[in-house]
Amino acid sequence: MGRIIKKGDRGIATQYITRNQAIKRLQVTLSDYRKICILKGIYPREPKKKRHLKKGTNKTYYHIKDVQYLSHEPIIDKFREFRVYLRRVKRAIGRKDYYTAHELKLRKPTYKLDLVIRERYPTLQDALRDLDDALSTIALFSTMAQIAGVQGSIIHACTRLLAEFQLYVIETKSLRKVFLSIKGIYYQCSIMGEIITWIAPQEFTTRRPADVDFRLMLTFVEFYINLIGFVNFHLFQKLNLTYPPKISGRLEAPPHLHIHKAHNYQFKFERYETLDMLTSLNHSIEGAGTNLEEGDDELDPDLMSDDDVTEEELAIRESQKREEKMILAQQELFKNYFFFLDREVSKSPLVFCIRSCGGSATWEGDTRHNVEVSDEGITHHITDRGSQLSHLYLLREYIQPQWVFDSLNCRRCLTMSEYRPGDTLPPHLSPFMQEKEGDYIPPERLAIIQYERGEGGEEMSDPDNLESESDKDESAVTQVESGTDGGVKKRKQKRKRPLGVGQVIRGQVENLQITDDSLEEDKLRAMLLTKKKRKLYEKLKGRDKRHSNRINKLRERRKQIERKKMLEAK
Amino acid sequence: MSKQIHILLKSKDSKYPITPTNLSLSLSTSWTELNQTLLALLNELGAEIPSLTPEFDFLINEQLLTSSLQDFIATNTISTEQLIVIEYVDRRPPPSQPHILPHPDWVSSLTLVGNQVLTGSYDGSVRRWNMYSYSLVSEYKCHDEPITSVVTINDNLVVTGSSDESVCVWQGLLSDEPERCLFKGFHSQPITCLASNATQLCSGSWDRTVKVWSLTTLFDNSNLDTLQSQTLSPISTLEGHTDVVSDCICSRDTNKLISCSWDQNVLFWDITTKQNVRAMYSSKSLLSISENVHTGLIATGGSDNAIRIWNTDTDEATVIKMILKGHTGWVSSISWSHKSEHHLISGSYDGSTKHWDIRNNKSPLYTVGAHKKKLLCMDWRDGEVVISGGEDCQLIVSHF
Repeated sequence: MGRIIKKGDRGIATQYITRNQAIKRLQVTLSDYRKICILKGIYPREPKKKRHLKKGTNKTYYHIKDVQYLSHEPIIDKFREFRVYLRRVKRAIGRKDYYTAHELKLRKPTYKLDLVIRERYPTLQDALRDLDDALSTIALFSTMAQIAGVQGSIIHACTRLLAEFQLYVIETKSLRKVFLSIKGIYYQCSIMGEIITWIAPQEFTTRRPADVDFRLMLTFVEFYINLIGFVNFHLFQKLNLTYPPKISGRLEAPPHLHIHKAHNYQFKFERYETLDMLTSLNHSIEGAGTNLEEGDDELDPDLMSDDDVTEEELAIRESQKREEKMILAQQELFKNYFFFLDREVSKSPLVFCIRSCGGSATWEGDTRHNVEVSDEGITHHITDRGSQLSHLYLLREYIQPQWVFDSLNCRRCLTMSEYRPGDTLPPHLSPFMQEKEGDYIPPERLAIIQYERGEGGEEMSDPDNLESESDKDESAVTQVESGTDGGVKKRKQKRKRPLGVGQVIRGQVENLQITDDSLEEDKLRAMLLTKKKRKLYEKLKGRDKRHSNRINKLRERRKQIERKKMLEAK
Repeated sequence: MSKQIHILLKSKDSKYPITPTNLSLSLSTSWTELNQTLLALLNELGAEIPSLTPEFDFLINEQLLTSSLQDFIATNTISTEQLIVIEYVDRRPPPSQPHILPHPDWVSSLTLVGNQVLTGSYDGSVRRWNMYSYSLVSEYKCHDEPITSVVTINDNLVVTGSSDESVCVWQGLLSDEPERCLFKGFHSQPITCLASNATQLCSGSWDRTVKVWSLTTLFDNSNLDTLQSQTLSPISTLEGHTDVVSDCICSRDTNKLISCSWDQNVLFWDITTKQNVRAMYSSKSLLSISENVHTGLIATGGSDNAIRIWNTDTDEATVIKMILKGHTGWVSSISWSHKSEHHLISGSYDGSTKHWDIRNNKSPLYTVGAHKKKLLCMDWRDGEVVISGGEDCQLIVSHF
């Protein structure tokens, strides 16, 4: 007879421990434990069967291996040292031994996070992949006011690191998408093939929310400051630039000025790098554009000239080529444009977007371009103030800020007529939407999608579009649709209409419509399912129905708006 | 009639007289025409011209003129409205016909000592040649395994590094005394490179470390005569590279040591604190390194056939100052001139050596084809001699 196995000796019971147990095992305080977990990237785990653990179901569990991994971390020792240090200082002050207290403060124990970062992100690619949260947090703290618990030095570091990162994005022209929302401004850039998305708060004064644990947040910030510092260093190194980057303090001639006139502008400023110059994002980096190393990521010519490729691959290549072309167009979007930003528009997002697309910008009190409002080289004047402008210059376009963001997202300069100051702006659409078939797509967004697919070449010949010319009411709404109810109706209409002479409709595989018979059949089949599966089936069906209801509602709403507009126009 | 430009020719060399007048030249003037103009001008002024047909190089804004004036002005966007100041310098002569000294095996390293050259070969022998009479002076088999590196400490002591993982300090290799190994130090892998200055010796190895050996004990020791293969222990072992240390040098800052490695990094070491004080990251494995004694610029040769010139000044905005391209094989050795701050010479696995002036980063001054196989080692004394050794078992000596 074998040994009797007691409960809790094997399996899941030994795999997980509660937080309190972990703290006891590591001999740290709760706050230190939280801190080390954040720094090392350890999260609580959800055991599969909590009741088998016999320790309560409303507890936080950690995997035993995670805790063992933490126990080897040298930073824990530093935390202990710090506790001892605090105790000694406290005792010295209590004894009124201020000399000792002062001496101790000079020897305050510190720790470094470089090894932790290297361990968590062995390569730059790994770090870039995980940069979204870091950038968002840094952006949040960079706008924060100095309040109790959040030191000025932290805010300063956040501001500097974010500006440096943005300068890198400007220098490599890798900004791809931007979206203004109430929450903040979403940016997306592509660095070394990694897509990085972050959100920066709007430029308002922030109030300290009462329900946020700042001690916890600051631990994250501490880690992210280190992480982004490392990432920035490597990114600038890749551009053959020293880190921290040297901001050229020279007052530059605006791009349109003749070279001889430019000599007057070369007041060489003292070469010190102020945070203002860095955060204005308008100054270039010294030595930029001198990247001598050749990129290794050129496409393999053998691969490209391969003869036996399938059609699918060809199509993929075709779309890749188109995408590359679009990106190139985006990078040169505002080339030769010189924007003047009016006083009330928020500068930093605009300058970031304009310079990422090859343009240049200036404003009153700009430290880079020494130009007046009246300068003839200014091609665009960005203003929010509508008709209150005192003087209109004929040689420039007046536009609202949204034009810049919309043009960047569309990757082409949109017509400015809709963005004149004082006009009601067209909707600012999110470029982050990933529409699926059957989703409601606003016509404006549809136009962008068509443009991106290659000037809408294929879309235009689509039968849906042909039809749309006849009945305008439906045109905007029914373009991208599939087997929903609306689709059935549409198909019936289509069949009625005779083909014109020489008119061609491309043959399409028609989705077999769910007829009433098959619906009936489905119901019967559902009855045969087990209870569990039937419930799931119903749940799925309900979800689909809700989704289509929502879309129908959106379509209806749009229709009403269009109708209203038509009436107003009449 | 092409466009005219105004130029002023001047030289920093005191042997040439000051040319006071501005000249007006056609924009399409080539280098030969400019050279003739200058010669005529100097003859007129009665300057002492050292050779019969001297040739000059011309510098505009510290850039070497390699093509016609027109091309130069177009590529560098110089205003033709203003007076262009052209500095002229003596053109460097190419090395003369080479002289071949055969070896029984690959020549892996060499070092210049006075008018003699020491070569280390894969047969384990160190040979001493007279580089003017091209005769073998002496030969001694130091190691059983191939010798990978040879350096001299003073005019008495020679150090050899070998594939047998040892670093040996020898007496008598430079004189007629009997050869004797004084000290021996060990790595755990074959030695790749050696470097020395007055106070210390350092060695890099396949074991990814650089070891620093103190020489003061050698000089302090009065009874050098009695020593025989005494084991030397390093004063520090510098660990930081993650791959083979391919080359190391003692910096002009005597407290510093610079090493480059196959792990693509250049590391700067502080000898007293034994710490890595600075790192420069490349994107290709590095094989050779040299420091300019005048400006402190560092040149490295790598596995992408290119030479990188690094800024060491932290005030500079860029890390790499320039990349010199032209070799068709890995750049196995590189050396700055000790006389001029602008010149360097590089040897490559394609068998050729190239002379570079960094004021012209587009093309080398000369390319000298030397070896039929890989060139492994190369050294030069500016204005005197270039010596290289390679896999074709030859030592090639060419004087200027």
